Amino acid sequence: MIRNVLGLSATLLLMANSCVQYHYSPNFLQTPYHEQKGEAVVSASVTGGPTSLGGDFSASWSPVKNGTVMLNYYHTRSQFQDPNIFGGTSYIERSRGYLMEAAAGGYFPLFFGTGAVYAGGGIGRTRNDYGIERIADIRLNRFFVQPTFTFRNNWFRLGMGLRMVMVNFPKGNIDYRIEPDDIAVIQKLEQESPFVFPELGGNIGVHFKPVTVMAQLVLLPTQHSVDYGFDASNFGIGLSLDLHELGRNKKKPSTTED
Amino acid sequence: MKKLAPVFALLSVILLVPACKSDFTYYYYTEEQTKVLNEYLDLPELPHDYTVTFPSHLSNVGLFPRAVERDKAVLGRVLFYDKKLSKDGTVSCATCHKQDLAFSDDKAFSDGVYDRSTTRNSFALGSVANFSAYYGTDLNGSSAIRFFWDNRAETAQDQSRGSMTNANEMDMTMHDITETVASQPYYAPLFDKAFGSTEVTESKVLEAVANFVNAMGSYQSKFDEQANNSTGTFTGNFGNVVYGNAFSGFTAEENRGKELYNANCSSCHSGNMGRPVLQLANNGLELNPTDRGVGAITGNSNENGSFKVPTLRNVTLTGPYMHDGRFKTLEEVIDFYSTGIQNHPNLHSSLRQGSNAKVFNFTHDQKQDLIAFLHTLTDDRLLEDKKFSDPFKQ
Ligand code: HEC
Ligand code: HEC
Repeated sequence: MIRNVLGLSATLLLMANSCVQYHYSPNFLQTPYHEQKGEAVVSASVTGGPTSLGGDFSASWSPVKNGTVMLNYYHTRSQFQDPNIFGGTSYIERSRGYLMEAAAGGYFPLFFGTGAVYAGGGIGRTRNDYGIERIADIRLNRFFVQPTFTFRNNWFRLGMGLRMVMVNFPKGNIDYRIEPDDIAVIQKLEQESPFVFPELGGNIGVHFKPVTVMAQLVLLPTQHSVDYGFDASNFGIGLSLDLHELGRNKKKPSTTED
Repeated sequence: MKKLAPVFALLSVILLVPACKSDFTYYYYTEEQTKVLNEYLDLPELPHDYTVTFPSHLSNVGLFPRAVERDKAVLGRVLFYDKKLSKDGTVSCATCHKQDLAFSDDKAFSDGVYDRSTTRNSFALGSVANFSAYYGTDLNGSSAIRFFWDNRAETAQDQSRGSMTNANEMDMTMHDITETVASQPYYAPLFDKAFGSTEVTESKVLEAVANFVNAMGSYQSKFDEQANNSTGTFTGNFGNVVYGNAFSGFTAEENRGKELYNANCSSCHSGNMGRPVLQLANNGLELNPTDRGVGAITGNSNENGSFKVPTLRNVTLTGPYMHDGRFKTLEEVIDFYSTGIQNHPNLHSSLRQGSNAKVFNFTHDQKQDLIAFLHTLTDDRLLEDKKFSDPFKQ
């Protein structure tokens, strides 16, 4: 496992150096901490690396006993100035993408914490500029099933989970001036879609009623990151707010209604 | 129940979004560009792939083609076939470098503008595994193989400039060339794709031609197929890689020819048809050569009568042979090596026996075997590959 993580970090470093174009980037694996009907939480995290900056937003609500619905939105963008050591024209590569999804699931007491299983789906889009406006604009949709385990007490939160995803790339609009190597990857996406793979993720946080300061991590532990230009991991820090702790008998938030 | 509405909404989304096949659209030229191009040229909607991938027997010994920039090669192809780039509008590179002849010419001296002709035999651009892996187009140093029979040009750019401005070939100035290119409407879209701007300059023209030529090569011959599946190489002098074992897919005749070739010819022309082992040599064509070859360029009398050693890929198609096209057929070439080598003072040592010129005295059967072997070096795909063909509408 440690080996894997080290390997991944090495790949990540390499990728950070070589490109900014990802055809898929995993959003954080959300683990709602609900244990009671009526609880609602919103959260926001920032994520990024040497060349990228992203935001990950989530809202969850338990409208019924043992049931949760959640909405997630993830947006990322990156920019990279090609250093071009050969002295030719140097250009700027840009990339941006989003993923928007909804999920529902059930939770139940498990060991010393809470177990839950969620299923959901959503849509996304990446728009990669390979420099001088050579753009690959690709749409994706994603479905997932996600078992999680969470533990919370008055000041501490720990959540982790496995997310089985199926990513499908239904449509793309691609400038064929993009370098042949990069086109080859895009054509592989087209031919081999949909992709099914696991993602591992979790978060750890310190809770100061009603706010939690947290760190999030998600990993894509398969070859997909290398073979198909998928982002292999995401790390970020953020804040979440337990709306139900703001005051008793407050109205439920409307975040899940749209 | 009402509270479960979002759950149902979600479920229906999941069911409705079909896990359908991907359908990507690729675009290259704009509609307007396509219209202009279609008037003059027969180009595919998406450009050809000019990537060169070597067979394993060559990459295993560290020979790799350098990268070709596809969009520049696409432009280079049009320039290569464009007769407007010559003084009288009748000659293009392809006049003397014909695809069906592995980019050589079937005349000893090629026809240039105004019925002039060249002073040497056209070079078969397809006689190499790959142009960019073979020549020193952007390499420097001693391993960079130079251009022309007398090794006078160092880069593909130098070489192209030479052909365009040679009075016997295209007879233009580089200024004429850029003016002509700038005035043809079909070049604007091609320059736009290759360089991100429609401005025409000499260096862009030369770079584009170089990229097209650099993509050329033959590496899919019967010989390559067999070499890929063969073990048992040994390395001779100057890194000459030789396939000592018989090839299972060769006929007995071809294998005997390979043995003769390995023993008598590979020390110059190379055993794996990668790069020539020697860059230049005097192979004893004449005692008193009128064309001094490399010696005339370097002024070194030890190099008089020395010429570039060509590799022999597609050699069955590239006659007439030698720098002056003196031999019409391969039979004549083999007869020459068999009994005709002249004892020029600069004759290379591998063609000597003591102080005399070697006399191989090949039997009739041995000659047939050698020729059968040389036939295995032909790569038919290069000859038919559309991406190297004339793009102009007739
Ligand atoms: C009129 C005939 C003619 C035309 C036109 C012509 N060539 Fe050549 N080419 C030759 C001849 C002849 C040689 C060998 C000359 C020598 O070595 O002195 C040659 C040699 C070459 C070589 C050197 C190959 C080697 O192995 O050293 C290259 C490359 C080449 N030509 C490419 C081109 C290109 C590109 C063009 C168009 C810009 C072109 N030629 C136009 C006749 C021609
Ligand atoms: C000493 C090195 C050397 C050896 C050994 C040698 N050659 Fe050559 N070969 C050359 C050189 C140099 C040329 C070009 C000479 C010229 O054009 O003036 C050449 C030209 C040729 C050509 C003409 C290629 C063309 O495109 O015009 C053929 C065919 C050929 N050799 C075959 C052979 C065969 C077969 C053998 C063995 C029997 C052999 N050579 C041995 C140096 C050698």
